[in-house]
Amino acid sequence: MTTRGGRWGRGLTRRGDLGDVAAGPVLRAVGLSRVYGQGEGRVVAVDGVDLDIPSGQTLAVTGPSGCGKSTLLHLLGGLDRPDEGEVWLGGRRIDLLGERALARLRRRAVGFVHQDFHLMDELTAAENVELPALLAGDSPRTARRRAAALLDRVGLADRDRHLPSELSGGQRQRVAIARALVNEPLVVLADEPTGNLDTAATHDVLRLFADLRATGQTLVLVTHDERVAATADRVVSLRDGASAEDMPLAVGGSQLGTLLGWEE
Amino acid sequence: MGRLLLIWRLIARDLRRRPGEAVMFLLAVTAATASLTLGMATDNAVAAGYMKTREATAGPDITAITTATDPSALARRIADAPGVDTVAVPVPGFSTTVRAGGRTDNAAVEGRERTASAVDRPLVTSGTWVRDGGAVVERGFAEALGVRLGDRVTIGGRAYPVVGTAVSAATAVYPWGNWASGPGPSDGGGRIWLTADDARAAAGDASLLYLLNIKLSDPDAAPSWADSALIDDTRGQGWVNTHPWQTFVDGDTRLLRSVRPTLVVGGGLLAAASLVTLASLAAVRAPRDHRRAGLFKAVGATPRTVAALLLAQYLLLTVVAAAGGVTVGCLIAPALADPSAGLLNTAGPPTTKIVAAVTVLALLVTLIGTLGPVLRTVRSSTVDTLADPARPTTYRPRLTAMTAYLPTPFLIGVRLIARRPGRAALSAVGTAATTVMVTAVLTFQVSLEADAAQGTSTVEDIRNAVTGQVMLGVTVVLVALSVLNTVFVGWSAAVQARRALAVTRTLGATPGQVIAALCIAQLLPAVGAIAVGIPTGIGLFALFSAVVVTPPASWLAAAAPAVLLAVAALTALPAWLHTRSPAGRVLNAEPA
Repeated sequence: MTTRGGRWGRGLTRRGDLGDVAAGPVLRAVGLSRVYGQGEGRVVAVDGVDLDIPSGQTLAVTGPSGCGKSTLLHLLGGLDRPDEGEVWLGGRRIDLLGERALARLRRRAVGFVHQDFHLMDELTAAENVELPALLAGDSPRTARRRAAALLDRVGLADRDRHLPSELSGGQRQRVAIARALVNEPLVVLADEPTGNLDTAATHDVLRLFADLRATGQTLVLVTHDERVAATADRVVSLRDGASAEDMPLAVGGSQLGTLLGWEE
Repeated sequence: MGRLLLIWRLIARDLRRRPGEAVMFLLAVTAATASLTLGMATDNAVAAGYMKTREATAGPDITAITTATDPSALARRIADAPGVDTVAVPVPGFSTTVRAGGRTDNAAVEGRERTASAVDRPLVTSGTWVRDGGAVVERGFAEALGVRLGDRVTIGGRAYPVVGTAVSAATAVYPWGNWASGPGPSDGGGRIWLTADDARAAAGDASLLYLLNIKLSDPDAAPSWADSALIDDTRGQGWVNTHPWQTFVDGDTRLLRSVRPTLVVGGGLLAAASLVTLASLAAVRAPRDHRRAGLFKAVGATPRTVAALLLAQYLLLTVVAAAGGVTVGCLIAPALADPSAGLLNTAGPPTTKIVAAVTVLALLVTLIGTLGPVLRTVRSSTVDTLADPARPTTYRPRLTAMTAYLPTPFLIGVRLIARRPGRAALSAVGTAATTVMVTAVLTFQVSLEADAAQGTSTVEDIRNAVTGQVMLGVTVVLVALSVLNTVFVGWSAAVQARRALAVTRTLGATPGQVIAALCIAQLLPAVGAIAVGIPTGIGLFALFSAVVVTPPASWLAAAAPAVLLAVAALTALPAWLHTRSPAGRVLNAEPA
């Protein structure tokens, strides 16, 4: 499977709008800050975070609840705007883009995986996966073909006509991952992807992420589970919205293997 | 008792926390019930107004009009007839054209003594009673002529200052007041009182008629009295025509012939619009009520208690709104019932029939609009109520597959309709109600033009003016309610689909596409509603109108897109507000 293929949205070319990914980090944050509320109710969710995420890297963002992990992920993916700082995706600054441009960018360049899955209740697994492709203007046939391939890849080919309510938590998250990949994004941003899953389902999802990593997919994982963080190439710890530690993990792959029981 | 106190406390807290919802509820139901009350109360108000005037002016039970040159013999014979209580001194009068302030109209000019008559003592409402050289104008006629005290009216080439206005129950109100037109058809007109000498002088060569005001021992028997008692021997040789008091009430009511169906049908359409409001409110409240119900059940409330709590709040508001509607209707009815100001108005209490009809309407609207969500909440298990969304969506495979071929705004819009088809139906009902009324108003305008081409009488002009005002009033209220509904339904659609729309935006839908989708979700039902509403409006108008007309195709062709444009614009506003927040914030705020 090619996860960084050359298909881009209308008016958005990889070389034109997003620049040359190979020349620099896929995702870059410079002095990123986000504040909610005012006066006594003022909460600094993200406080001056700097990040460079090279292509193909799996980055884990960890920290206690409420430390700003999810907000940082939303800022990186263009789902929210920073109060200060810059976000660069594929060599293009995106924090100044309007909602419309951000939406178009997300279609092709960003795949989201949420803790709560956020699948459409009234759509089957296949229909959920093909939805971003349809939004991006793909023909229904193409979208369906790609959805079928991805569901096969995540091991749910036989569940393609099941509604989310008919799937287990792990299966739902695998559908969400397939949906995140359907437009072959530059980066997949996952917010506590195993937070609502049992151990077996967690292993399934981590196996999928390992596969993605093997294909060179850039991946940002927000997690408070240190075992999951240990499977990444690099771990950034947040405390009170600021980056407290940035640690490369040379043994990420073997940790994953250990976690999944591949190595004793 | 404790349970009742708890329910009351919870209702009071909820009303205090969300007064806007309560106000919307009250406005919607009050508008519908007020219109229905008005429709049903106008006839009663006409009768009540006439009876009050009759009592205040010693109105006759029956009048006899004669062309006899000397009516005293006839008066004596009538006084001797069985069933007669009193016969007043015959009043001379003649029919003429009067001019005032550039307007001309027909009128019966009566010659009156300064002293009070035994029967029919016009009640002076401004100025004084007749004096030499001064005229008293019947109040409704004065309004029609636009004259006030001190103005002049020209009768038979001579100008008389208006020294007073008065009301009387001896004829129907303007334009039915010209009793002196004699045998043959009458063009109608008003009534003016002069002194007897002035009247005779003003009559000039015109032949005088005489009005005999008669009191009977049994006023209710007035219609049959003329047939049984006014035999040929009593009538004599002259022309004699009689009018029992009941015909005056009929005449006054006839002016409102088109008003009553307009108000009753308008009440029905307003009920449909208020049903949309209530159902939308219930839908918006459903997740909150669902969770509240779950919490109550978790601490031991039975489904019956939960149902009582949820329904009691709606029913309490319904009772208040129905009472408000009846009160407003009964207060406005007298003003509407007397378009020519010829009667003493009185706001009578509502009849049992009105109260029953309004209560049934209000309860129907409330129960149809709110019972579904309440029952769903009550039937859900406690765990589901606490955890799940209020209403699971239905999977529609064919529709989903079909929409995949549509442009993004249509794809999302049609799927929004599929998620909540009930809301689409509600939206359609509201738009259809408005379209029916707008079409009826257009048809009415065409009928006015058709009437004008054929030539209209004063009566028809007044009737059309009153009907037009009432139609306009009902339409304005209905359009206002529909505007509120369209904005509210659009907003509730955005709120209910907030998570789905946020996810869709996360996946790449632009805010513009989401706004367009929300508009499409309202517009598609509106197209069907307009297609149904236009013929229904024409049909309903034809049902209650003597003239069968249809508006020009160009009018309808302009009205339909205008309604659609209004729906789109009104939906775009809440949709735009909804998409102003970044999608990520919405996802953060939404539970799974």
